[in-house]
Parts: sequence; C-alpha cells; structure tokens
Amino acid sequence: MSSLIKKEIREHVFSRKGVWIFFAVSILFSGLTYSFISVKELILLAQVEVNMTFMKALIGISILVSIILGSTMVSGEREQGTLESLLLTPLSKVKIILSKVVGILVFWLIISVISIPYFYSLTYGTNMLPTILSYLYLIGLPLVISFSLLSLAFSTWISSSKNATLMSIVLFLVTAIPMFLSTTMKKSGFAHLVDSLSPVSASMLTLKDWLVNKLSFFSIFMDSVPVLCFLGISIICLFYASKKMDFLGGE
Amino acid sequence: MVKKAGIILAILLGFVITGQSAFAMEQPNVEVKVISPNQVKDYPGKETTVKAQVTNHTNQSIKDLVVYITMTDMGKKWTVNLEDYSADKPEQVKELGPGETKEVSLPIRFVYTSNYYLYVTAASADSLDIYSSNGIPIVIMGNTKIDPTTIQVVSIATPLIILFLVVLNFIKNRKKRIA
Repeated sequence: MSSLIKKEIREHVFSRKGVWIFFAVSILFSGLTYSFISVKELILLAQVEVNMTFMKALIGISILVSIILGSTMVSGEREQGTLESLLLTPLSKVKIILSKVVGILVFWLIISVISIPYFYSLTYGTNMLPTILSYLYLIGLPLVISFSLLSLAFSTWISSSKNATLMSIVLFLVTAIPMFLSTTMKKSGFAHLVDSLSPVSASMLTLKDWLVNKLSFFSIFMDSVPVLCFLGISIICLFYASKKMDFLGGE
Repeated sequence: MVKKAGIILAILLGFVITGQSAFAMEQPNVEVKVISPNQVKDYPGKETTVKAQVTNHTNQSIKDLVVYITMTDMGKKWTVNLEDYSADKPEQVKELGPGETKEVSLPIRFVYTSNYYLYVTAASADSLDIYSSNGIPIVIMGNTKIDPTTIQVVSIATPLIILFLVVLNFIKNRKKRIA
C-alpha cells in the first residue's frame, strides 16, 4: 500500500501540475494578503476580520482544489486504462481508495503549510496564531477531506472525470449558497434549510464563535456538528463507492 | 503753541487711522471658528459632528453662504476625498446679517488611518473671497497590529520560494528523463 501512496503523491503532489498549483495558490494568497494593506476598504478591517477573511479564502480554495483532484483520481485511471492494472494488484479496493485519500491529504497539508507564513504575518502582534491553526486542522481539515471523499465517490460512480468534477463543484456551490445570502434571506425558506444543514455554513459559524465571540468549547463543538456529520456521511459514501469500483462494462 | 498742538494732533490722528486700517486687515469680513471638537484621536469608524461658528463682520448681509469641512492628510501629504468620510455635503446659511453669528453642525466619519488637519471653510456666491477656520489636529490610529513590511516580505518571498522549488523539480525530472 505504501508504494501506491508514494505513486499517488508522486503523480499528484510532486508532478508538474501539482507544483504549479502550489505556486498559483501562493500567488493567490499573496494577492489577498497584500490587499489587506493596500486596498482602502480592507485596511479598515479589524485584525480578527482580516484573519477570518483569509481563512474563508483558504478553505474555499482548498475545497475547490481537492475536489478537482479527487474527482479525476478514479475516473482518470479508468479513462487512461490504468484502473485494470490497479485492480489486479493484491490490494483491496478500500486500500486503493485510501491511498488516493492520502494523496489528497498530503496535497492539502502542503497548501496549509504554504498558508502558515501568511497567517503569521496577518496575526502579527496578537496571540491568534495558535487558535487559527487549531481551527485550520480541527475544522478545516475534516471539511476539506469530506468534500474530497465525496468527489472521490463521484469519481468512482461516474465513469467520466468531467461529470464527476461537475457534480462535486455543484455540491460545493449548493452547500456554500448561504455564504452569499443576506441574514434576512437565511432566516426562512430553502435558504434557511440549506444554512442549517450546510457544513460550510457550520464551519463559518464555528470560526466566528471561536475567534470573535470566544464561546465555550461546548458551543464551538455544537457549531461544528454538521461538519463532523458531513465527514461521517462522506466516509460512508466513499466506502460504498469503493465497492462499486470496477472496470467499464465489457472490459 | 497752536502749531505744536496741531502737529501732536496730526500724529495722534495718524496713529488712529493706521491702527484702524491694521485692525481692518486682521479682521476678515467673515470669520469661521471651529467650536468643537478641539482635536480627535481615535480609531477608524469614529463618527463626530464638527460644530463651527460663522460670523459676519461687515455691515451688509451675506447671502447663500456655503460652509463645509475640509481636511488635509498630513501623513500622506494629500488632500482627502470627503465623500469617503461622508462629509461631502455642505451646510447652507441662507442669510447672515451684519454682525450676526450662526452655528453650523457638520457630521463626519473618519475612515482611514493617518494624521489630518481638519478645518471649516465658508464661501459665498456674493464674493470670491474664501474664509477658513484654523485647523484642528485629527489622529486616526490603525486598529490592527499588522506590520506592512512583514506582509510585503511574506507576499513576495513565499511565491518566489515555491517558484524556486518548481524550477528545481523541473530540472530534477528533466535529468531523470535524460538519464
């Protein structure tokens, strides 16, 4: 299994595509960070708001990158015709899928490491950095991994990489809808339903309660329950999807 | 004796006339004075109302007097866009009678971190003369401890380090392919 993990890391993390993605992400982070000291409206933000904005951007970028990566992992193997050789190895389907999950995890960990200098500079002069990093790895990680697992499941169920990517992005956008709505709109109807169930909304509420409202551990845990439930659902979905991982019909 | 008295009288008269004209030079037709605040030292977002007094020192009434806030950014050595500070709307004084004083209230919301001089200016449609009050110091402090130099260093150095690793990775892969 370790050789398969190494292969995934080599193919996705240290490949030319992978390193260019890291470079693009760092450029995005630099642009955003620099705007906090150069854009008139952003200079006005309090330091905690600045860090919350950066965290939202980091989580959004991480989810997008990891779902694109995850949704092409199995269907990509199928399209390239390499899935057959992979399934013929003595490794179980679950282990094959797990090695792909580790690949995505390493990818995300590198993105999170890239973000640390930016967080250091944005939390400068305060004691927010440990809280920020705790949030990143305790709430951000389960959220990003949940989306990656679901995109991997789509990639396993749907034979086309394009369709799997599209499905994953649509799922992300639906869960992220409340972020674009006003507080009044979120109080009723479909928006309220999505807002109360969305793991993305829950993660943002957790961030606010942790950093701004400084609520108790119990309240923060309760805020993050939808994220943990989403992780559980994603694990179950991927487990069932891994059993369906097979050659194309007729192969 | 009469001659001496005439000379003294002429000298005294000269003093009176000169004194009056000097007084007239010091006293403008319209005087603008900021009553409150004396100074402001606060964070961005601070809202305040500048109260100013406009006095007509002439013996004629002045019509359509426009009184407004003006600020100079002494930190950046710039003028400021008063629209950003919600202070672009002037107060109008329809008529200011001879010797009359009127008080105007001008709201402002300080938004950007810097050091400013704030003063109130009055202009009338009747004359091209513009009258301004003395300045009051305004210090708007930054509400973050973010160090711009650290941000600049991180924003430039991080992508450069990653670019260096990308190039290193590219060279390594190329060497492998050649071997």
